[in-house]
This record gives sequence, C-alpha cells and structure tokens, in this order.
Amino acid sequence: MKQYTREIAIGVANAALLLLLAATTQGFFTADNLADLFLANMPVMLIALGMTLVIVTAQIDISVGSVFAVCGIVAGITAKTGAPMFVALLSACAVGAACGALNGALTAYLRIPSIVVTLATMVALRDGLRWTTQGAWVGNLPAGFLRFGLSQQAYTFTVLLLTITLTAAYAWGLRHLRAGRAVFATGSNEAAAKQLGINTNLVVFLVFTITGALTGLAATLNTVRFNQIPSNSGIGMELKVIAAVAVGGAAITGGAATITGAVLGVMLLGIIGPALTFLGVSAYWEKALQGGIILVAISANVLGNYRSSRRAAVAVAG
Amino acid sequence: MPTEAIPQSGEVLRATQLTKSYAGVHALRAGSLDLRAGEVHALIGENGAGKSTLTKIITGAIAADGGELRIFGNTITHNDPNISRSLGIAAIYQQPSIFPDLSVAENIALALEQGSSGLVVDWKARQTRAKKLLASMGAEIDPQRQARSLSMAEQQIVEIAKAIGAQAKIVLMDEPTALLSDREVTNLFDLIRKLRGDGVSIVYISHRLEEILALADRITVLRDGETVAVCNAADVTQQELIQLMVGRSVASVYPKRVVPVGEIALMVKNLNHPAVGLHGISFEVRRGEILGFAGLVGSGRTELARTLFGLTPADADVFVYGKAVRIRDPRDAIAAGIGYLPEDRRQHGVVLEMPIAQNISMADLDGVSHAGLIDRDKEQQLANRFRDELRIKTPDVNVPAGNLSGGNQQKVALARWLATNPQIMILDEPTQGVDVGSKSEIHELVVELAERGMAIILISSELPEVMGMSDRIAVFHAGTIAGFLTREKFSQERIMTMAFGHAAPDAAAAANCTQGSAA
Amino acid sequence: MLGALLVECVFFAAAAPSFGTWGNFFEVLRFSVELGLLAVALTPILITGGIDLSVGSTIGVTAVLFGVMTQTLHMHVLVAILLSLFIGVAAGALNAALIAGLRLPPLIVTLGTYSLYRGIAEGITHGAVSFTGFPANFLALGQGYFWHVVPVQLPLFVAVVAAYWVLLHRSVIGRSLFAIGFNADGARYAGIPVRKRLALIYVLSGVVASLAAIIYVAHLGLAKSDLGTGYELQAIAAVVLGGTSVFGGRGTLFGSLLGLLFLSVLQNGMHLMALPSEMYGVLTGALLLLIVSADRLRTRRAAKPNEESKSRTPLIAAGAVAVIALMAYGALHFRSVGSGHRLTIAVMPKAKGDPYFMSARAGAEEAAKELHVNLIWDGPTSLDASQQNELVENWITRGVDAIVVAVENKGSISTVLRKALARGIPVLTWDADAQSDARDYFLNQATPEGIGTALADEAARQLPNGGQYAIVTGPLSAENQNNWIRAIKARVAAAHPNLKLVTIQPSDDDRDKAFNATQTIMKAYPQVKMIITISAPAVPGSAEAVEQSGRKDVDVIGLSLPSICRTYIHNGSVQAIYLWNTADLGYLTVYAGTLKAEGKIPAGATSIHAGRLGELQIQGSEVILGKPLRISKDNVDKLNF
Repeated sequence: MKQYTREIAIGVANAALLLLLAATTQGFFTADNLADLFLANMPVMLIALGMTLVIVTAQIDISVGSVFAVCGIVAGITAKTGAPMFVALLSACAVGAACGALNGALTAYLRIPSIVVTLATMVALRDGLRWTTQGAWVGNLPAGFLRFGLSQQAYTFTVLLLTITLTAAYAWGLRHLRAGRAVFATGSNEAAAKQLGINTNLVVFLVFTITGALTGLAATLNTVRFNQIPSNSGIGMELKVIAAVAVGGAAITGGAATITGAVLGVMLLGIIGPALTFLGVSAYWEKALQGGIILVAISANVLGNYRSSRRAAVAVAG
Repeated sequence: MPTEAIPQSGEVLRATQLTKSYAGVHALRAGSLDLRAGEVHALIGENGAGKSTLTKIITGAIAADGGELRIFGNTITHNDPNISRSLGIAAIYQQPSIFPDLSVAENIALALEQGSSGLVVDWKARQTRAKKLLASMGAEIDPQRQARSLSMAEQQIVEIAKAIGAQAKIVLMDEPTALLSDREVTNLFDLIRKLRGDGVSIVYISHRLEEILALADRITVLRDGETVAVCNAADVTQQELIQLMVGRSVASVYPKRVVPVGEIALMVKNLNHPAVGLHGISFEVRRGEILGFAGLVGSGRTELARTLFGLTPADADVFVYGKAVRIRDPRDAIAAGIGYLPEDRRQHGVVLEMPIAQNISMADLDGVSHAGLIDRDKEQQLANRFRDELRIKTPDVNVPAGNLSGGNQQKVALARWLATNPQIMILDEPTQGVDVGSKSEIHELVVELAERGMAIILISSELPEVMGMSDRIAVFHAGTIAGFLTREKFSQERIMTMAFGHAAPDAAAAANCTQGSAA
Repeated sequence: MLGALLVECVFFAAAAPSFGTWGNFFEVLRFSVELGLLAVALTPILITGGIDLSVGSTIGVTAVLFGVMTQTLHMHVLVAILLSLFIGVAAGALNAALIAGLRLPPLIVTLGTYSLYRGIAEGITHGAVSFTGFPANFLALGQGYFWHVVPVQLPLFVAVVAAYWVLLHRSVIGRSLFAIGFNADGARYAGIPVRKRLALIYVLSGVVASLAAIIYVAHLGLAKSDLGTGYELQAIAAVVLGGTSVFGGRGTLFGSLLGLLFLSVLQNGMHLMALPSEMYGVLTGALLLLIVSADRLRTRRAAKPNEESKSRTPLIAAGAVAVIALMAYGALHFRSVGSGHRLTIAVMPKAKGDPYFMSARAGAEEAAKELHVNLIWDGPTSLDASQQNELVENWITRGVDAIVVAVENKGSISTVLRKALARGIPVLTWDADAQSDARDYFLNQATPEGIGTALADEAARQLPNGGQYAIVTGPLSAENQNNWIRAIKARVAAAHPNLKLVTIQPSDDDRDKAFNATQTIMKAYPQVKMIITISAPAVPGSAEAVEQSGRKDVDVIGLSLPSICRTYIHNGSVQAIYLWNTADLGYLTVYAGTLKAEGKIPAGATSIHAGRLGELQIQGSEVILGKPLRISKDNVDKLNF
C-alpha cells in the first residue's frame, strides 16, 4: 500500500531500535519499564491525537505545553475545594477546551494564522500562570485525588485502557465518521469543502477545542500520579508533540495524516531518550539525536516518494 | 430526490432582472434567464459580462441585491449552496474542486452525502456507487485512486459523476471543455445529450461558439451585466452571436497575414524525455513563422513546451539560430531567447497579488536594474510602454494584476515575455478563457510579433484557432510529433486523424508532411 | 503599528519618568540588537511564506563553538569570528538544502534543526562548560560605547538592517522573494530561480544568527549552550507585529523594526515601572493577538465595505480597554512601590518561578515590612543571564537605592554591576557571587564546595559499603548545578572512592522529567543505590519514582525545599535534603541592602546586626549566613519554607 510508506518506515525504525535494545540491554522489556514508558508518554500521546487533527486542517498549535500546565493546576485547585474527582477532571478539560476554543476562534473566524495565535497564547498563558501562582506548587491534595484513589497497577491499567480506547476511537472516527472526513476535506481543499456546505470554520474551531480538551485530560491523568502539582510543567511539550506527529507522516500542509503514524511517532520519540540511557549514551546528545531523527524521517520520506510524486505531478499538469 | 415528472418544455428556472454589485460596481445589472426542462441552454458573453455572477446567484454562492429567482415555480427568497443543492441544482466549474488527498470515491461521496443525516460513513456503499456512476459514464477510473493523481479531464469526469449521482435536475457547467481534448469533448457531449434525454436541464457556459451551436438548444447572451438576447441555436450564426456579445461586429476572427519566413530560429533534434512521456521529437521553427502545435490534451504539446523552457529539463540537441544551447532551467531558456506564455494564466502566467508593473518586469528584472538594484522609474516606463502597446485596460500600472479581467491579465502575461525581447515565443493556449474582444486583440498581436521576425510556437486545443493562425501545424500523438501539415493542407479532419494516431489521409502522399518523425 | 508604538512610548514616558532619557533610549536599542538581527533575518523568510525556528539554536551552537575556538584552541578572535560566520553558513545551508533542495516544509525542517543545533551545543559542552574571559577589545563589541552613549553594536546592526533593506526592497532578489511568497510556482514560470533564492535567504539567516551570537557573546562576556533560547519565537512575534504575513508575499523590514521596538519598549517600560516580568509575557501575547486582529479586520473591511466589520469593532475596543486596564492596574498596584521617601531595595532571584527563590521572597518581604522600605522583587521568568543584565540596567536607569542580585553568570553580569557601583548604587550579591570588584558584599550562604562536600559525605553515610550513584540535575546548562556536580565529583574522588557515578540525567527543573529520568536510571542501572538530585523541583520527582518502584534499596538525597519534600522525607523515600534557611537568606538580602544603602555598614566592619538573624560575621567582603542545613525526619516539620 503506497499511502502507508511513511508508517511502514517509522514502524521499521521503531522495530530496529527495539531490536537493538533487546540485543544489547537488559531490563528494557520488563513489564515495569514498559508501563513506566507508557505513562511517561501518555500525555504526549493524548495531545498528539488532537494535534493530528489540527495538522490535518493545515494548522498548528504550539500552545499545548502552556495549556497543559494551566490545566494541571486547575485540576488540583478544583480537587482541593473538595469537589469529586470527575469534577476536577471535567473542569481541567473545560479550561483546556476554552483555551483551545480561543485559539480556534481566532484562527477560524478572524483568519489569523494559527502559528501567530498559538504563539501568543503560549506566551500569555505561561507567564499568566507564573504570575498568578508565583511559581508555587499545589500540594496537600486530597487522598482520593492521587491516582483517582486507585492502586498503582489499577491506575496504570485504567489509563492504558483509556488511552488505547481513545486512540482506537480516534482512528476509527477519523476514517468512518462523517465528521472525521469533514476534517480531511477541510484540510485537503478548504474552498471546495465550503462549496459542499461543510462549515470549515466550525471544523477548525472544533479541532482546536478538542485539542485543548485532550490537553486537559492528559494534564489531569498526569497530575494524579503525584501528590503535588508543579506550576512549570509542559515546557517544550508542544515541540515534542508536533515532532511526533510530523515524524509519523502527517503532511504539515494539511489533508493527510494517520493516527497510526502519530502513535508510531510518539513511540519513536518516546523510546529514544530512555534508550540512550540504557545504551549508556550520554544524555548530552539526546536533543541533537532527536533533531536528527526528525530530519532523517522527513527527508527519507521525500526521497522515497520522489519518483512517484513527480510522476503524479506530471499527470496533473498534463 | 423525488423524481416528480416535469412536463417537457416546462419552465424549471426563471431568473428575472437579477442585480448584484460589488463595492458600487455593477457585476450584474439585469440578469435574466429562463430554463426549460430537458434543454441545453448556453450562457455566453465576454468575460465580465456577468455569467459567473448569474450562476453564483443561482447556486446560492452569493446573494442577489435585487430581482427575482424562481426555481420549479417557487420564488427563492433565501438561497445558499445547501438549499440550491437540495432543489436539485449542481454546478461544475472550470477548475474542478477536488480534494487531492482523498479518493475518487470519497470525492464523489462528499458531494452526494451532504445534508444527509447519519454519523457513520458507509465505505462499501461509497465504493459501489462511485464504481457504478463512473461505469455508467463509460469512464475507467478506479474509485480508490487518490484524486491528486487524476488528469484534468478525469477530474472533470468525476465532477460530472457527482452531478449525475446527485440526480440533479439542473446542471450548471462553466467552461467544461476548456481543458479537454477533442475526443474527451465528444464523450462529454454524448453525456450531456444523454442527460438532456433524461429530462435534466443544463446551463452551459463556454467561449467556444462552434461547440455551443453544435450542442445547445437555446442561447442566452449577456453583455455588461444585462441579458441582451435569447436565441434558438438553430436560428443564429457565430457571427451574429459575436455581434450580440460585443455589441459591435468583429471584422475577421483570425487576422492571419502571410509573413515571409526567414532562417531557422529554433531547431530541436531527437528530444527524449521519458519522465514526462516525450520521445523522438525533432522539429524546427523559422523566423517569422507561426508553428501550431495541435493534438489531444496529454499528447505532449505542453510537456514539450515545459521541457523547452527548462521547467522539466531534458538532454536534447537544441539550437537557437544555429547555436547549440543547453536549457536546464527557465533562466537558460530566457538567456537563449525563448519565452513561454503558460497555459494556466492565474497560477503561472501572472502573480495576481502583485502590481501590473512588477508582473511585466518579472522575467526581465535585469533589464530594469543596475547592479542588482531595481530602477523604479525604468520599471514604470517599461510597464507604461506595454500598457499602451498592448492596450491593457487599466488607469494605473501599480494596481494588482488580479484586478484586471482575464483578457487583460493575459496581455500582462504576454507583456512580461515581450519585455525580454525573445526570439522564440511559445504561446500555450493564449486565448483560453479570454473574452472575444481580447481574443482577437491577442490574435492580432501574435501576427504582429511574427511580422517583427519572432518565431512563434502556438499551442491550442481550439482547431479553428490553430488552423487560422499557423503557417504550419505539428500534430502530436502519444508524446511525439505524428506529422506536420502546411497551410494549404490544413483541415480539421486531417489533424484529428493524425492526432488519433493514424497516418494523415493523402497528406503523406502529398509530401507536405515535412520531417515527420517516427510515430 | 507606528501608532501603537507611539501610544506605548507616551504611556511609559508619563508613567516612568526615567523612560524618556537618551541613555535609556540607547540601552533599549542595545538590548534589542541580538533579537533585532534575528527579526531582520526572518523578515524575508516570512515574506516567502517560510519560517526559520532554528535561529535561536544557531546562536547557541555558534556561541559554544566560538568559545571552543577562542578559549580551547586559542585562536585569534578575528579568525574565530570569521569561522563562526561560516558555522552560520553551514547551519543555514542545512536548512536550505532540506527546504529548497528537497522541498520539505520549513516549519518541520527548522523544528528539526532547532533541536539538532541546540543539541549539538549541549553535546559539545555537556551543557556545562561556559566560556568566559574573552579579551577586553572583543567585549567592547558588545559592551562598549561610541561617544559614551551609542552602543558599539548599534552601527553594526544598522549596517545589517541597511543591507537587508536594500536586498529586500530595492534589489532584484528582493523582488523575486515577494513573487515567491505570493506564488512560488508562478515565480518559477517567470524564470525566477526559486530554489536558489530560498536557499540564499536561509543561508543568510544562519549567517545573521551567527553574527547575533558573536555580539551576544561579547555583550554578555559569556558563551554557553543555552544562549538564544526562545529568541526565535520572540523574533517571529516582532516580525508579525510589524505587519508581515506568515502566509507570504506581504511585509516590510521597517515594519519588523517597529515590531521589535514595540516589544523592547514594552519590556523596558515595564521594568522601569517595576511591573513584574511575567506581565510582559501576558501583555506580549495579548497585544500580539490584538494588533494582528485589528490589522486583519482593517484589511477585511477594505475588502468588504459594509459587511460584519462594525460588529467586531467593539470587540477589539473591549480588548484594548482590557489591556489598558490591566496595565493601569499593574501601574497602580506597583506604583506604590515607588512613592514616598522610602528607600527602594531591588532584589533579583535567578528565576522567578523557582520554589527555592519563592521561599526566599517571603523572607525578603518580611524584612521590607520591618524596615519600612520598598521592595522590588523581579527577575527573569526562566534562567537567562542577559535578562538579568537588562533588568539591572533598567534599575540603574530607574534609580533604586540598592541592588541585590542572585547571579546567574558571573562573567556576564559584572560589567553592568560595576556600572551600578559607579553610579553610587550599592550592589550586593546573594545565592551566587559576581566578580568581587563588581559588588560591595556577597551574602554567602554556602559555597559549591560546601554543598558538594555535604552531599558526597551524606551519600557515603547512607552507603557505608559504597556502590553506584546517579545524579539528576536541572537543565544541562545550569551553572550552579554544574558547579555542584564538579564539587561532588571532587569530594567523592578525594574521600569516598568506593562510590561510583553511573550517569547524569537532566530534569530541566521539571518534576515530571525528573520522575521519568529516575525511573529510567533505576531500570537501566539496576545496581544503582543512590540518586543525588540537585534541583529543587526535581527532588520530589526522583522521590516519587523511587517510592512507586517500591525499591527500598535506593536512596534519594539532594538539594531542595522542605515544603515540597516533606511527604517524601516522612515516608522514607528521601533520606535527607540539604539547604540553608532560604527565608533567612531572603530576609538578609533586604536587611543588608538597606543597611548598606543607609550607609550603616562602615568600611572594615567585621559583623553586621541583621535584625532577627542577630550578629552575622563579615569575612573580607562576604557576609556569612552559615553552613548548609541538613533536613531530615527530625527537623523537617520545624521548618516552614
């Protein structure tokens, strides 16, 4: 299947890395370590689901890291008022969705480029949070808040199930729901989508809102693993999420991306850091390596598809 | 759609005195149109006459300022694309609006499923329906194909499949044949006649009067935003239609004058370029000569032009006035004295957002600069000179080219190349989508250029144009030149026969096919 | 944009008397040069519809390599500058090759190189090495003046701007860039060498970024891997504010300069008004949205004369009112700081959000209340040496009565502190020292050696039989942490040879990253017995990781605050943390600053009486607060910071 070349390439890269780890290290493939790895990358995965949609519509959201921090604090403060767990979760998602809605509204209805909008909200939310919290952490959280009151295993299992379900639902919905196809139509040819009566502004607005809500969910799920909530979390997260989605084959120009690709991208970027530690490579080179992987992934794809895309271009021109 | 029976020759749509203005400028003053069931109704007029404004009001893309629109007897007070679609109106635009990243089946489905309820997509049904629709049209397109890979003609077919699939009662077609080859046009006409037979009403917009007279039942003529005439196609001639459109009589459609041809300006020997499907191409064009390139779309005419201009460079023996040149990118071509007026004016011919003056100087920036710095006075002079010479209708050369009408944009695109003083000019569909008035002005200009000693290659899908303008015609078939015809041997029949890959009837015997390379 | 800039200037001139001076004007410009160079380089790139996120990282990698060339390889400065520009060429050329050659989307390409270049800088220096001690004639490039008022780098900047202006607005190349921005395909059909042009501007962007790096190094007197972090986004904000469209085709260099000046003036004005630094980010974001929205609506109105524009005008007006109200609130709230005849003591932490500095602030406020002085407590929002310089400059302009600084980088801040001394403003340092001639007193809580020794000894106490240990640090480039690591290693080598360091992992002062890093360490090095975590926010992360793993055999010690570690000390996952009493330290900053400002510390004094802290010794020019405090189960509940 030609349209899955990128997914296959990233899959192969993942497999190669895992094989290398299997051959040269011990302890990587323990259930414990895999569970830890999963939990460590769960927030990025959940946000990547939203980011995939944003990128499909040819937009970008670089404010997710700041929204992540804000939502974590919101969840904690709500929980401290004695509100039940799901209220804390909902309020974090609601705040996240509100931030996303602001991004979406400015992008869709005012037609301000999304990179400008989300750059502004990224800076404003981050410093706004610093200002209001003055860097203070939220502590003394109610006992029921920690892992929803579940044991460590039960929590891991629940979150795993939730993430898999959400991811699968997303993949299915993007392919089979009319709304999912509307997202692709909007990203592929906005003017044509409008002609067909698709409310493309609403689509763009909603994908940002959904991304915000997912960020809220990710923040809450992450927050409950610890008994305090720092006010400086999520710095640089947006880059990791975007890199993962892009490495997974999403076209930044819109119209094309798969959830499978995003999952594989998150995996690759999530494994590479710990893999370096396991392989005994100095952490000092991790960032350089991540950058290298992004560049290789996108270049390899183009070089691989060069011939076929050229032929297609000629066909259209003819 | 419920298929209630509509009496033959019953009125399905009546637009009365529609008006629309943008920023105080009237785009439509009194647009009227009455459409009967099961007729092909042509809508003609120069660019800017209000054709597209009128159709946009009918499809609900824009709202009229005044006038009345009745569809199936009901007065439409509020219209939008959804409403018009639910009334059974489908529109097919000149530039098909496809989703390049999605499959053919989905492209069709998206158009048909709008407004229907249901959250989940039925992929199987989409697939089957697309297959059935395409098959019913005799098209061999795999519904799974990514729309990105479709040719223009295939895209057009998919567009029509959408209209058929929607069981549209009224189909608006805007220049559907602009990018089609003659065979594809024939197929399209068969299809349109079939639709008409099924009781569908078709509004057909085109600049090609021969086509219209062959196809249409009735013709509505628009001029300056007003409906000036409604005629039965059987009762009018091309000349009469042209007069109605321009409001004056146009002397001669093709102002061809014989120019004495000089030495060989451009010679191409055995050009092969498998990546774009060209092989074994050899030809020459002389000073003062107009060499026509005829052939089906995709037969290699535009591909050859793009290769000669360095857009898709190939290794070939190319000689300009006897000197070997290597053309690896457009700059080499320009340096060698070759200019190329591209097929797609809006995408490639001009940069719509940039001022006219900057568009004109764009290919010859060195000519208006000193040491890499642009001399603005010189640029203005250059632009003003061409504005006057080519009669570009604008008060100011510093307004964006996009503000001009299509014909004037084309003149700007041409001026850009004339500014480079080319020895060889390749014109790719120079009058496509251009109104009648500008069209004859461009024809006149081409002849003038030849008279000045330029060697001209004229690519056109309009046979009358290529025959009316050329000294010789090279007929393309399947990526190579099937043969050459000299002026006295020009006939539509001969050209088409060669274009379809057969030897030219009696032409070869008459030895007028000079230098035909192996087909 | 010009209007907005004027309004802004008038506002600050009215609100902060020292705003409208020539000195201040040139200071604003000096601090704008590095960012300005990036904004200038980005303008043509945005005009072609592209973007370059890698410029900030290019500054980092160039600065580090410049440091290597001059300090390690002892090259002549001029040679090093020349080679550095070539590094810029190389950095730009990689972007150019991928964008123009392979036609990859600029956003993703430069996102990759953003990470790559910064990573190379970190890799080369291990994040830790920072190069200082550049020759004075080189430093003059960034710190000197012409005619005592015009910063040296300013003419250079003007020259670059002029060159870019000619290139963009007058030259054949510039014209083709606009055409490419509107319609790259159409430009190609007109014979414009699109790829060559694109390649050129990305390469130039690399060169200009490396030039910015050299000026930056000269300005700070310091080359470090984290220089220029976040500059790309600020530069983009400036360009966009200046009216350049990220969709390509539209924009001017003049606009970018206005946008840049707008942001610089905003920051400067807010510092002069003693508004908190966080407000700058909030305002930047809000104003960016507001100005771009207004612009968007204006062009839309021009296109569509009578539709829907009116309905949105109130929205923009409301937004503008909100922003002005916010600023006015800030002004009123913080203006009280500047009123009356009370002394104003300006205290700067290294970073405002850090819990460690937060706890010190409580003590500072206590002292300010007690002594009836005004306290300005402000600092960078994240570790940033150049921000510290800028803030001190602004305090000098504002005219405070004493400056007390927790120094992020010794080499870079000393020049400006000397300037403060020269203007007769008492200067004290705390937490980390500047060069000794650049301040009056250093409030010494503990030396890196003291801390390193305490931690290494603690580790040995917990592991009497020796064993493996790992270090979780802050950001790899954090100066303090790197000094501590050095001291720990030295002490271990000297006194505890049976302790073996297996790995050092960064946490970026992020609790969650520390958590993940600690988990990985325990898996990858199952023999590890001790985690030494030396970043305050990171200790709870390490502790949580150990606790969740159920590994009773792994100990965590480190430097942190009792308030965020209390739980872990009680449940036994953290054995001990070390710290001095931060509240006391904060108290001392204001107390000592006030004493010095009132002239109550005579020359040659051997002790001061610091309020509730009692008599504190002075050794040389250092006020000694005491040894680091060992915090464990026994005393953690008695400490309230």
